[in-house]
Amino acid sequence: MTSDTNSQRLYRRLVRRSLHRSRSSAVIVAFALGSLVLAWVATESVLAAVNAPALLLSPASITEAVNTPTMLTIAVAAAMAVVGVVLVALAITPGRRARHEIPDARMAVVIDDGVLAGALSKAAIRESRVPASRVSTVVSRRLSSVTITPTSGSLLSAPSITHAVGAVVESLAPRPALRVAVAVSERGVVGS
Amino acid sequence: MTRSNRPLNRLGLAFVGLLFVAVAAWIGARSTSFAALPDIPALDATTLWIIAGISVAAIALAIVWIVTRGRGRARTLLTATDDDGHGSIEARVAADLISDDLARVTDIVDVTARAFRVRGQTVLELVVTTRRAADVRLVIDSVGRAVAALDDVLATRIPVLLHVASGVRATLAHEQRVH
Repeated sequence: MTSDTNSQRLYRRLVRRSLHRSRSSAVIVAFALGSLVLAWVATESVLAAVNAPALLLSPASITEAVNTPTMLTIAVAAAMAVVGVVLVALAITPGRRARHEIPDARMAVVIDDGVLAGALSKAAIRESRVPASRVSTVVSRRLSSVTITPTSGSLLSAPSITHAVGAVVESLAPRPALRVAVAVSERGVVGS
Repeated sequence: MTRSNRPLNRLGLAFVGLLFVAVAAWIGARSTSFAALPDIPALDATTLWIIAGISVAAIALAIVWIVTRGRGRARTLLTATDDDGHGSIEARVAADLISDDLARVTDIVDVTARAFRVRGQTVLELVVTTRRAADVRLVIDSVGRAVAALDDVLATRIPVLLHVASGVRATLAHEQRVH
């Protein structure tokens, strides 16, 4: 194996790990809360084993509550089900971050979608010559949509703005590839 | 860009999640008498001690898991050995060199650098915070030139991960007007 393919594999790994969440924070929160509950269970178990009075609930009353569920038990169970489903969802979803990869010969490059949106807005502002506050861009995984509110009475050419924004996208070649959609609002705004 | 084991993180989350769902399902089944589940028997002292032991073991495992997240950071970027001995370069030095090079690029608000050990190699991670409407091509090319200069200084090519970020500072920074 040559060192070149080695570094390519390293860069692919770096980019892949940058584009997805590590879930470490979710794991830390889940495990820390779980540990608190377990610490309480352990304490109650030991207290019951040595016949000392319970802190909050004795193990006997917990098993009793599970064997013959009351409304309160069912409410607790429902809450546990919600938390459980959220945790499972966190585990199986791809955990993508709002970022794109930019191909580069020397470096592994990732860019926040917010920065990408700013760059595309800038191109649209230059081409349309409307104030920056009236151009907004949203970048999602495969689509960048630019919305422009023109000045009343002036005509904006959507194709030329699309071309200008497309040129920026082309020069960056983000991965996954971005489609450009430019929308010029029907109603303009009075003033410069 | 830490060395946290990500599949293991998924597994841990799924395990805790399924445990919660299973307990909820058990209680749900008991309350509806939909499925005939046995009563949980009364717990004797031995069982209680076992439950306490398992809980403590699980807590220990959770603590180990938590403290092993985010490993892989390195302070030293490069170590070189020659006849006279060996010298090392800290990641901070590289960060300073790159920051100095990029000081004149107005679209860049902030540069931070960290070193990580990934697969036996030291990787330099650069986080470049830009202004809101930055010329991204210019930013990336500027960083590329700064990295090329660093390559010359170090006389080697360290793997570099560049993250062009939109930070809080970027949204607070004033937008550069271009006419």
